Amino acid sequence: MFVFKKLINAWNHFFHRHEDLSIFGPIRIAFSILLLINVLLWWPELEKWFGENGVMTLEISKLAIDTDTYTIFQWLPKTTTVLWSCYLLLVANLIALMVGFLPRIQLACIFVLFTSFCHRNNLIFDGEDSLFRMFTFYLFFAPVGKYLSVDNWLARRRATDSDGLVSSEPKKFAIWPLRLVQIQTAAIVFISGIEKMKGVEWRDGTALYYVSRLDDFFYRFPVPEFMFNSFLMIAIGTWSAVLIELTLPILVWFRKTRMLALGVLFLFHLSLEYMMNLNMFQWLMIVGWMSFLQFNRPKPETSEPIVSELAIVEPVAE
Amino acid sequence: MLKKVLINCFLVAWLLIMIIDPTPQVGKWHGQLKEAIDPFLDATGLWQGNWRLFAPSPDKTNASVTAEVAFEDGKVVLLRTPKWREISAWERLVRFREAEFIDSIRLDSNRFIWQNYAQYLRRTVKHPTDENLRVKEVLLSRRWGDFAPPTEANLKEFPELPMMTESYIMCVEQFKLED
Repeated sequence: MFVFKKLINAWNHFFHRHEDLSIFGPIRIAFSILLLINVLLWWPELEKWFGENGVMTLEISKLAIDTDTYTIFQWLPKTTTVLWSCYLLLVANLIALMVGFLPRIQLACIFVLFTSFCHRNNLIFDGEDSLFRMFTFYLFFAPVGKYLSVDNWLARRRATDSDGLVSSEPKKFAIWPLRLVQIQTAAIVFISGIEKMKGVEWRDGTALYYVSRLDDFFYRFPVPEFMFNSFLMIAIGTWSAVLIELTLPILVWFRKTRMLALGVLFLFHLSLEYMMNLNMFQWLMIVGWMSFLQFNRPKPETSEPIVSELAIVEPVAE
Repeated sequence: MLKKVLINCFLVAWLLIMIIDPTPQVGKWHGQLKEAIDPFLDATGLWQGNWRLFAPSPDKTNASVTAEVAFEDGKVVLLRTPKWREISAWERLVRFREAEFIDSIRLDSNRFIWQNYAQYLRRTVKHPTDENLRVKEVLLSRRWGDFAPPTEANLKEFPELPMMTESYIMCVEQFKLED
């Protein structure tokens, strides 16, 4: 019974304690900028990828994805006007989310529209687009409009107009939406590490040889040749990647190792971004890791001068 | 209180989904659980797929797709997958979806799209000198090369890419010119 109670307390402390979640301001802005860039890159070939006269009719596209999936395009008229309207609405939603105007409504629309585009031509989407969907889902539950947003600015202005007083106290909210972002981000890297341990090439240290020979993904910018033309360097690179993926998603949860883990993870993703062509994936992962920056505040002071000073002040009679 | 109970139910359910859905399968029962929740995740757009990221084994193949679009006067327009390392980083970013598409359609498992893609090319590829000339035939083919295991010799070839030595005609679509 005692253990059960401790577990409940730990659960409540982990998911339900109230914190200043102001990190959601930068996360919302960075996330919407990345998704906006991602979506804007479809612009020149929108009709090619998603139109009925494009590379795949809607009927054919259904063969490329699970039959249980839905897209709003299956219920809407199959015209270019409708396609462009949905696209421009998605762009408008993303701009509104970026500035923090009615973010929850924007996130709901973004989730429906972005998922619909993904399901309309699944062949051109990959893991980063799944992560965009997941983060959209999590941010829907988060107080993203409370920080660095038009909504917040309007609320403060209304408050100033009415009574002239604006609270400077940091707002606190239940932490569980932030936990979902953190768990998702750490899980991706950790699961990838486990999967790698199942592969012969990752265990024998040659995986990076194969990855570095991929034409479409690798060599985005020139890299030092010595890192990829010797067994030793390739093995070091291969095992380092596995080590990072298996350890840092765990170490990032502990206060003492968090900043070091985040530093290495940021460098890891930035180096992959330099070497590999994976669209927005590395930047999106960095946004995910940003959610861990929230907890590194100074510890509360243990001294008690304020209490002792207040204690000697005589109450003043009205 | 009710709100907290509902949030807890959601959190427990979602954490279970996160344990079941994207993780590597550990047994038959795990596969059955994955199948059980799959329709719900698909319908809601909350599916994640896997997070393998070049695991358990990285790809060991480079491939390209070529379309030969033949016009009624006998002229042939060739559309080739670019050599990705020869174009700028910006162009690679802009053409990222094209790379994904090529990587998908080259596979036999996606052969259902070949005919549709050939018809798309028929509609969109223009004759270089006379826009009125019509497309007579579209031929799609792929070339690929599998990487040999690393040796002292082929390691030194970096950043040169392994040769694409294999080829295969994916489909030939002929169109009636009376249409």
